[in-house]
Amino acid sequence: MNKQTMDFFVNDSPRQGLIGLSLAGLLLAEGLGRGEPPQIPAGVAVALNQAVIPRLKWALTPVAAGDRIDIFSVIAGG
Amino acid sequence: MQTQPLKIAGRSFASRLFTGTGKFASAELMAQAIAASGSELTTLAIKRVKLTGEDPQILAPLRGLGVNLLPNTSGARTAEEACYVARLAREALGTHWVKLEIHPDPRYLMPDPIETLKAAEQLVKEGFVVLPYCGADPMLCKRLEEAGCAAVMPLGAAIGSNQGLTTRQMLQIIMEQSGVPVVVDAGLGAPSHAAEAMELGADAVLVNTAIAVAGNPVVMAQAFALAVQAGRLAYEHGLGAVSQRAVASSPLDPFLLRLLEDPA
Repeated sequence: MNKQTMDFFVNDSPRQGLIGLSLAGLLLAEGLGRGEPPQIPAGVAVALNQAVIPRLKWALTPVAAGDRIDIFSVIAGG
Repeated sequence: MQTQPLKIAGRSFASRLFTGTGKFASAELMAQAIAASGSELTTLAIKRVKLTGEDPQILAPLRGLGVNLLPNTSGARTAEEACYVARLAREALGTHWVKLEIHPDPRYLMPDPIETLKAAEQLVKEGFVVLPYCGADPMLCKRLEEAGCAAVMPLGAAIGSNQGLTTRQMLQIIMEQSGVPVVVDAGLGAPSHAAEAMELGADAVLVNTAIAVAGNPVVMAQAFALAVQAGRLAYEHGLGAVSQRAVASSPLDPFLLRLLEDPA
């Protein structure tokens, strides 16, 4: 494995990313950004190793090797 | 004609019809039906994104309506999972209200009473306004109330089944005993079912499937709104007592009485 990359999980699927990647960067890399410049739409929530991370902290929160990230979104329901 | 407003956790609701956002053919139709229903509280779900690029198109139209949002924990099978989903929903929607739903069995979607009570206790501790979906069990509803839930949401029948108040007798006991609002949730398939629940003394009802899959969801939403209002007005203004025998609507006149006394 290249020294510059790390392995982690997004919604239980294995992923590889550059060391130093933030949660905000990850969400954009996952294609969740909308508009120009791309922003993550309302109704999305993220947890890092089961701890919910507030939207305001996404840009400041680094992803580490082995992390498990869950990305949730609001959908229709009763 | 106005009914008394409903208060849950300090928030006042003029409409006693709560709605769900599931199963509508489009987000536009959903928004139109919810607007037509007059509902001020509507449920949503929160799920792991599939990462296929689809947008949560549902939120913008709901924000446009100004309706209060009630995220549910549907999909959770344990108290731990439900608490996790509730925390994610709070972050995603900026509300600490949650409809607690834990139904691990996919066939009947019956709520798990043990896990629901455990999750309710935990979420109340964390500052959530908890509205638990639960079986129509008077003892359980009392325990949920004691745990600090803001309301209880006992089921009329299985989710999406349209069967109406199959739990009528138990619901009556729950309404008689409850110190928090009782919202009859699930299984209400026709406006008459909603009216029946309100006449019994339900504080509100939650309807989703019966509106969403109707031939015309917008008109059906209005029909449910009228039924809920009619049922509530009837409850507030003194329904007559039920009697085993006939009670004449006009006094028996002397002529008739004479005939009765002296048939010859």
